Amino acid sequence: MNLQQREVFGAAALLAIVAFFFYLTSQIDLAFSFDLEKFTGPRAYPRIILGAMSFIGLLLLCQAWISPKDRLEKTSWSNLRLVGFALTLITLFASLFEPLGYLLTVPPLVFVAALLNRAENLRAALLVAIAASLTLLIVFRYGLNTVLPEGIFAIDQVF
Amino acid sequence: MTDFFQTLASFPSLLSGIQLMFLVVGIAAGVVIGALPGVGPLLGVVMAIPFTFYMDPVSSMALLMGIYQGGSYGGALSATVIGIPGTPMAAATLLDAHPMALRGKASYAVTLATLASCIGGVISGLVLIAVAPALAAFAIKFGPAEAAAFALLGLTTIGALSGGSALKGWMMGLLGLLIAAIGLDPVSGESRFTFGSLYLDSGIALVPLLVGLFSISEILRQVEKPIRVHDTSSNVSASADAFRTLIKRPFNYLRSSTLGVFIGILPGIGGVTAAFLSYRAAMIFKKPADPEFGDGNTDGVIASEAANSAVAGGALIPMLALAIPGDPIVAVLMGGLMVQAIQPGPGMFLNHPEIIDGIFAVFILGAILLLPIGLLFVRLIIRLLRLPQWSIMCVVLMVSVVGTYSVSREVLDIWTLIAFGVVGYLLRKADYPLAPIVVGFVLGPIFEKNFRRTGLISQGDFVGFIADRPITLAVLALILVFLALPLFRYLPARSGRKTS
Repeated sequence: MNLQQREVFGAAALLAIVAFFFYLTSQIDLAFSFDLEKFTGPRAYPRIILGAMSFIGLLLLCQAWISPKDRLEKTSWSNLRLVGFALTLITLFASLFEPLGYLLTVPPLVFVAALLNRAENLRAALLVAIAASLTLLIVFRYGLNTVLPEGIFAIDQVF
Repeated sequence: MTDFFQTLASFPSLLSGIQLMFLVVGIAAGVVIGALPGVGPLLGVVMAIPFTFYMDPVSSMALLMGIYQGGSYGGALSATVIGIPGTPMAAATLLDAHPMALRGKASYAVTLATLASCIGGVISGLVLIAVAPALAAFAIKFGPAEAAAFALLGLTTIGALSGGSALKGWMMGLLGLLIAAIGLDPVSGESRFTFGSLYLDSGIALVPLLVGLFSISEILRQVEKPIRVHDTSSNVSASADAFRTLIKRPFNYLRSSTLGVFIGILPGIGGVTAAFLSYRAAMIFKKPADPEFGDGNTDGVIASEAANSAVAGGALIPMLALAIPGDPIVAVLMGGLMVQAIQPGPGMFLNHPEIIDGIFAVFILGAILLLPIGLLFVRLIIRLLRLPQWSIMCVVLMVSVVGTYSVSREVLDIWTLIAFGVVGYLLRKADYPLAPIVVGFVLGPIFEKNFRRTGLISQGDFVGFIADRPITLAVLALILVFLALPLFRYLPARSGRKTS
């Protein structure tokens, strides 16, 4: 995909999102609205925003077509794969954070994130993962008095 | 004027020990964050927001404003020592401070930058204390039409905030308004865009939105393209010579700080422009015996640092008095107040005068404390610049995810964070600015409430209603000027291209 195509694709994607939200506004129930609100009510207000967005979106589409910018940086597929891994990692973390608890999820998250950020020294990455996780746990637990998920380990038993 | 001196005199009793501690922690953290390339004060303030949930409003602002002030200055450290501005605002400082460091005068350059930041901050704080209450007293008489018009003015400054394409900036600002509209309608209580989810009924929370957009998207960007770390070996300490410039060049400090405050008040222009404009002004007043600008000129460093630090106080004036955030960091600070259930604007001066006075005290003390903290920790900070980038990004990721969860202890907030992280990453890839989304999001509820109240009062006859309100008309005229400005920028570019 060249740079002009990416700009056009970006504007078109935003217009598609606008169209989807416009469709969603038709599902807003007006049963409890006042008559006076017909100009600015719960349905009209988002439609005004979406109208402005579609106008600007069309201008952006024309702009991308007529005078494409050359500021966009090129993307390599191998680096995009790393971004995909990073997203999978955070998604996995979000799924396991409450069931497994802080101690079993945060240090592995930090360790794998270090490897994805091209940490060359595995021992240093492991050390950072453990030290940073424990420091943050102490800050939240004892500094801010916040309970973080204990999961299968009760934090009280560890400390 | 009496109020101004009363406020200044009451400072010692305004801050408790714990609030002072948060201010010191904020400044120290801000200086480090500002010095690290690829992090910056905006990301620092965003990451600190979840922690402020557990604090009183003044402590919260002490931490956030400390990071803002420290971060604005911290960029000058890396600009001087390694020749890479930690923040875009420090780009003008680099022009003269780095050549000084290369000639073995790193201590002089760093002390000069610290001193200029301190003076710029103090002067802008004094202007803030003098102007913001007067502006709020005037704004308190506004009705919903004026309030909606001012919110709209804040939104149109988005074009200026967007840096590149104004159209993209406005598109993102409107996206922020749309995101703010998700949840139960504030007037009728009907669900909008919630897909039947109870979680979405209360709307999108500010913390996962902010942290996802800025922090997670930055992490994904750096996974794709890491930032190179530079070796630093400079031995830096405080220099007495730099303090003598206070006597030798007082007008430069004053002129640059005043210019910075003025630019800060104007929404959407920001510290980078202030630093370069002030640098340009210093060039006009160059002394013949001084080195050339760009080759280690003392006035260049003073002008740039005093101006970019003074922007902070100026930018707080419209935010506190009119609820218009003219700068992305100030928009996040406004969000920080909203997390504490405090609505910035003229009403805050009436309902929470103690918080306003606390913010004033925090700002002035923060600017003063920048001098000892900046100079005491300079060696440690320079050593931190050697940390590998992966370790910094790992800490950012951990604090972002766990901090967001800790606010409401709701795992769905982490999913929201991931969603906005992906949105932010894709928007960055397509060269769309993210700051306008935050401005739209924080101004959304204010604009909607007042816009709809205007609609109800006028019974739909907006034109007839506004015609009798001169302030609203004046603000709307100003909005038209702001909307037309990018057009004027575009036309000369087109004609220039034809000529060439």
